[in-house]
Amino acid sequence: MVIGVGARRGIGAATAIRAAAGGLHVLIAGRTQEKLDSIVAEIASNGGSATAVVCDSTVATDVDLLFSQVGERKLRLMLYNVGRNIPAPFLQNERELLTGHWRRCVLGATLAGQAAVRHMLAQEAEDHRGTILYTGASASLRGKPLFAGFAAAKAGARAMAQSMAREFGPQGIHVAHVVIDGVVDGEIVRSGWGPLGQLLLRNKGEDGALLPDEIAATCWSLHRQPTTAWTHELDLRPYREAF
Amino acid sequence: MLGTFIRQTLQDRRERARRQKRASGARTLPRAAIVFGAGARPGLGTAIAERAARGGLRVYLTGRNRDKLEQSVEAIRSAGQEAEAVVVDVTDETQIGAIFDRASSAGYAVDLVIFNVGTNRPGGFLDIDPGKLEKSWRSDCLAGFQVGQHAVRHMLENGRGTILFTGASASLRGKAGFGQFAANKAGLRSLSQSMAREFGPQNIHVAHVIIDGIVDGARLRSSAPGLVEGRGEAGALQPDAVAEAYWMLYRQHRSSWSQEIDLRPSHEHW
Repeated sequence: MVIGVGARRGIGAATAIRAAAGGLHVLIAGRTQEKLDSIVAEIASNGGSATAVVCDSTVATDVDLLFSQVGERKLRLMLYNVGRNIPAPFLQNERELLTGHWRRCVLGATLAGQAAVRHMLAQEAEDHRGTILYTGASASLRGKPLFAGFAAAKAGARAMAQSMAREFGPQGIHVAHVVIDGVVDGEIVRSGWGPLGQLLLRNKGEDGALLPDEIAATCWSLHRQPTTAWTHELDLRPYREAF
Repeated sequence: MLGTFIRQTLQDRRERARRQKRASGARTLPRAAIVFGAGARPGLGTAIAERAARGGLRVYLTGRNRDKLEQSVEAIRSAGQEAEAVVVDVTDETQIGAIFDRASSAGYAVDLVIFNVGTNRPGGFLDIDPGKLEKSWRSDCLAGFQVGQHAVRHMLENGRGTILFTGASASLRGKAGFGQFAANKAGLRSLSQSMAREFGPQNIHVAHVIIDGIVDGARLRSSAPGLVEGRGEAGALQPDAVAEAYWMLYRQHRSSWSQEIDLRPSHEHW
């Protein structure tokens, strides 16, 4: 299951496609039906199987409905990939903006995490019942100017993931947090940011922005790790990124 | 001052151009890996060497004990892959340099270097002997700098490469009784970060692997009998599982490199 799927050129879609190639049926959750449908179609044309579910991950009933679609299958992998790094000067962080960040990053991550853990614990006991992945950002680790609201929410999600990993690792649930430190060469920057995004990507040069398919490859490696050597946190950034 | 700056910039640019020219010729060379700290088998160093050999690299296993190295090399060769044992004392820089020269003159580009040296000898703070502290610092930390310098020089010539350092929980915090080990490991971690920031843009991937738990290897099985067994299943890191993570780092595409990852058994308390 991948929550937070948008355009094909994005982390959510790339991970869904990677998981389907790995033999999993993938529940693809996002806000826009058409985007989800096109990814389901791509997976199907590659011989995989997937279901699109329109879902607001910050609403408990939506999350319940999404997880009910797992049905009789075993839940092996859940990626929570929701969050929007909207910049705002500190004094202009209105209540609504702060609440939005918190709902997407912390509340949604917790709702989805609880549902996933319940599912996995209910499954027959195994050394590795399942994997729960969260995408983090540089802001998970430090607050830069203009990102107070986003950073506070991302830091919260990171702490939640750490706590989950410690609680459920011994029960066979692998919880990991992937810190994405750089611009993702995806649809959001390519078209969402207009000419600014294209200029940014040009300045970054070849392989200077994270390729969604490569992020997905690492996410899949995390899911495939043997139980004796699980990673809880790793960072990912382009080779030429200053950090 | 401006003149110096311009001269320096031009010089840097010429140097880069020379390197790129050399690199374009070197890309066709077959690739090799050097593992510093490949001791007993099973063990972390040897498992990483075996994984790299399976991945098609010629592997140089280096360590202090010839017999142990020969056994590991034999295991790799019997699987039909290429490996060579070299006794290296990492506190002697000329020996570090010699191993890179050896790979070069055999016609290989060293594409992967593993620094897996480190000895965890716990003891109370007041009992830390300055002589032993310095000795452990030379092998566990200073040698990391020197291996790093030789590796970077070699890799800049080839235009690419990966350098992986083995860290520990002690890289992040000093527990009571682990002052000496923690100081060395924290130093090594900072080194890896600084190298990653300096050489990432030059296509050299430097990463640090935090091993947070006990490794089920020959070293621990002989020094602390019963410890691994007492932990039960998934209570200790299996060397092959750890080696898989090192290999994943080596295989990462440069648009998405990790600088640091942690590894621990599912049953570890942390």
